[in-house]
Amino acid sequence: MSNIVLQVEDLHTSFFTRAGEVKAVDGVSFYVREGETFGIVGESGCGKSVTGLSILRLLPEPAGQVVGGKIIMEGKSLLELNPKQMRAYRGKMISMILQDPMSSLNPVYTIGDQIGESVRLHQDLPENMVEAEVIDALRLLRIPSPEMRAREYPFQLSGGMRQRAVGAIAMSCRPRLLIADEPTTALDATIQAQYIALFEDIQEKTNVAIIFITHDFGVVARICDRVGVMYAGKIVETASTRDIFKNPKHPYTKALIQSVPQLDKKDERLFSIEGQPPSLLRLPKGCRFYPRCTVSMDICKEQEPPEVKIGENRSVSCWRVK
Amino acid sequence: MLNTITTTAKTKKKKQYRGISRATRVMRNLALWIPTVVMAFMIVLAIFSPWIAPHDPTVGKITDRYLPPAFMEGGKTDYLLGTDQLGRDILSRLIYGARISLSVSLLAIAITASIGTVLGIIAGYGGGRTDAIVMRVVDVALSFPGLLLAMLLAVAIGPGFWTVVFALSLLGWAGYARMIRGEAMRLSQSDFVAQARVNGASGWRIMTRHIFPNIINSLIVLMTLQVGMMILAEAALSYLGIGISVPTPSWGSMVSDGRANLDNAWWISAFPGAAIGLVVLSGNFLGDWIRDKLDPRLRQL
Amino acid sequence: MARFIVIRLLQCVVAFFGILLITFFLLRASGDPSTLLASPNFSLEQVQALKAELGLDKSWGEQLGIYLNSIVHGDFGESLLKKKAVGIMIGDALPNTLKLMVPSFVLAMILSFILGVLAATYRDSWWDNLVKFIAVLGQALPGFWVAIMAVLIFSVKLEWLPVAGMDTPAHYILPMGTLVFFTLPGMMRLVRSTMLDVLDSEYIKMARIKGLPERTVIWKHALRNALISPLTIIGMLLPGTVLGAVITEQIFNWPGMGRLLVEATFARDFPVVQAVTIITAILVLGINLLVDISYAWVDPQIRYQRT
Repeated sequence: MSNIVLQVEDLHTSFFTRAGEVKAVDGVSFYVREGETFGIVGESGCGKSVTGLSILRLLPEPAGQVVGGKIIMEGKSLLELNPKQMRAYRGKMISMILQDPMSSLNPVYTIGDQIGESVRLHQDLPENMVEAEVIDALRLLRIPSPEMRAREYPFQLSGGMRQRAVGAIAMSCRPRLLIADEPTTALDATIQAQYIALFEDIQEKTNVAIIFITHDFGVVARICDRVGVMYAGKIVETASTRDIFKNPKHPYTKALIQSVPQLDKKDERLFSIEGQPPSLLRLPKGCRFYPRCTVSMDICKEQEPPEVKIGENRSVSCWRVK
Repeated sequence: MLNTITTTAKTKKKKQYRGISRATRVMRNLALWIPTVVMAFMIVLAIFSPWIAPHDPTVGKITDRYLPPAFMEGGKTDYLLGTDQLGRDILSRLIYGARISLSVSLLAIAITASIGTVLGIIAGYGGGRTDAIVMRVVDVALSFPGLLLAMLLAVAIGPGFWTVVFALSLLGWAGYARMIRGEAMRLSQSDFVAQARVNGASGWRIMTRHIFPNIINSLIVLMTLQVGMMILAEAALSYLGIGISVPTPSWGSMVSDGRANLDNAWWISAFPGAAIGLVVLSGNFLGDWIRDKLDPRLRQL
Repeated sequence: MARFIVIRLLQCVVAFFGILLITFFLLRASGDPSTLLASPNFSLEQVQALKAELGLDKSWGEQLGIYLNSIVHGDFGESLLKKKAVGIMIGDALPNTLKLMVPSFVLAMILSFILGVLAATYRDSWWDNLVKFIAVLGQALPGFWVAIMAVLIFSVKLEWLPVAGMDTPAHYILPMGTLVFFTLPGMMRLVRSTMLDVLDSEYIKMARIKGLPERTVIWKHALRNALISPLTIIGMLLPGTVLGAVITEQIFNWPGMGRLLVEATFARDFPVVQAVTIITAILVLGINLLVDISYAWVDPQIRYQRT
């Protein structure tokens, strides 16, 4: 098996607000291997984006703080790096693609400038080589006529092209890890499919490890190798994509999968989950999914379920699973 | 900013945040109540000045010239804030000055708001060429120093109460027109306007019944935010001498009276200026508060 | 870009003629200017002579033609008060005003950008609170009063700085300070709030994700964007600056356009007031044009606009 690029262990991230401590990420563990795509799925506000930002240590400080756990990248603990060392990791070793392609590009600089900036920062190259690298990055994202595009401003590109340009910035230094935070949400369905195919292509060429954050199990099925289902700051189930679709164990995972429209089961009604996720400010004592669970038991209300390992690559936190 | 994470930082942060929250809550209450009291006080002074003022604001006693405030050596308790170069009571002049300040600025706001709203709605709803013409005029009006027009007016029709009101109105309408036009434009693309059109409503009806009621909040916010600006502008014109003519007391001209007597009677300038500052500060705080309540989108103003 | 500038230039010309017309009609609409200009003890013949001299016996159309023609040739007539050519009076006063205004305005802009950006960057720090405090106070206190209080403290009580005049560099300190006070608070507040919006944006996150040092993120990525909206309002700041300049010159007895204007207003010296208005209008419109061009330079979206 290929190397583990990133390992997150028992990560806790909190936001300290006027109302109190919001435990956005509350004990999350996962890893991702070279050339592998790990999906983090969950409803909005479950802490998936905060997990991504915690890895890059780009939380909105001082309110957001990593308060516990470990983030290990190829043997180095990221949380122990000083700010300067951490900056050297960003862009070069770990990169990220944000949700909104329209606003992720700086409107006053050309695409080429914005890609070149990363290249100059992280690679000690003569100026004429920088341009070649920029064109290369644009090619990697399959942007047509890259020489011309490099000289254009963001407002001159279409939405899909902008998203690719953001990808080109992220991939310009060939990072080892790419975090993609709902990169397809703002795109049309057809462009979305193209973009996902593009990810697979990039991964094949560069062997980059990808953490793919999404709320859409349909997208997970297309691109992820393994997946972690996140609920209210915790990963409640981790498994390979195949296993999770074939045999979801956690009631929340089951509900999520049932709420994905499937073309082959026409007359089945779509399932929706009743209720709201709990406030991260005041988490319930027992299982955090208990209030919305259809198969809850007495113990669920009183005690948090432990993480149960099933085989090599699978774990679930539910009292129903033994 | 980035920093390394330690567990001790956690508890410290928590305490700090709670402390801030209590302090800010108290501050917020004060920031609402102090300005409200100041403004209410000012309005009472303006309305009842003849009954409140201890002396006649326009007639002074030649023997009581340049008297310092009562709390200073040589001051008389009869003249709490001292007297000016003609022996007039500064406190009484301040009280009467509130009248001028308030009436001029309120009148000017009423006029500018009306003109600006009408033109703004017509431009925003009308669109096309109407919009282009109105907006060009607005651009010019916004970039042109209204002071010069005020000066021209002062030469042409002479200084006085209405000259100031008229000059301030010329200064202010363009800001309203621009703002209201934006709102009207947004609203005229909304579904309920489309619906009204489908139902055969006339342009007039749409502008008055559908667009105007939806603009009122923004309008109120703009008007309250302008109180301070107008009071400052009135004071500046009066300071320059093209405002209310002597001997009627106006805060701006009172500051100007003291300019020549700075070395022996600083209080002639100091108190009216402080009064302007206090009232404008209160007006601005109230305006901010009303904006946050009614229309937080206008935060940039 | 060229097209953009041409359109703006045309707009300026139209606006300029609008202002010319306003000055022209304001004078005539307020009654017969000769009654305004003549002293009360003039005889009927003298009034008639004055009318003829001013061309007031001709039709309005002809008068307008004569007026426009003389202005195009730089002839602003003669001051009624000083019996001097208005052009010469302005030629003396204008440089003095510019000597004071230009450095003050530049200083105010530089300061408001530095202070505003720092306040936004260190949001809610003691520094930010100080900036907010200055901004709130600065927008509430009347500038002329602050200037007079400064004279009281620094000139009268402490005797550090001269009271009025423009002979030495020390004479510049208080007037410049006053002018800066007129523009700084509003501008600083705007820079701060735009900068906060920009710092909140996704492209700033993206710049950090690239691993750029905070310095580059703020002063390269954020500032360039935060420049755009404050630049657009520089044009709108000018009226306040003109008011500030007039008041400052009045307070510090500075022999510039502002003092000339105020004196002429009191003497009802119409040709001077009119000339000052027109010259100021040209300057203001010219600066607005420059602002538009620099705005286009900062914002590529405008630079590439075809319309």
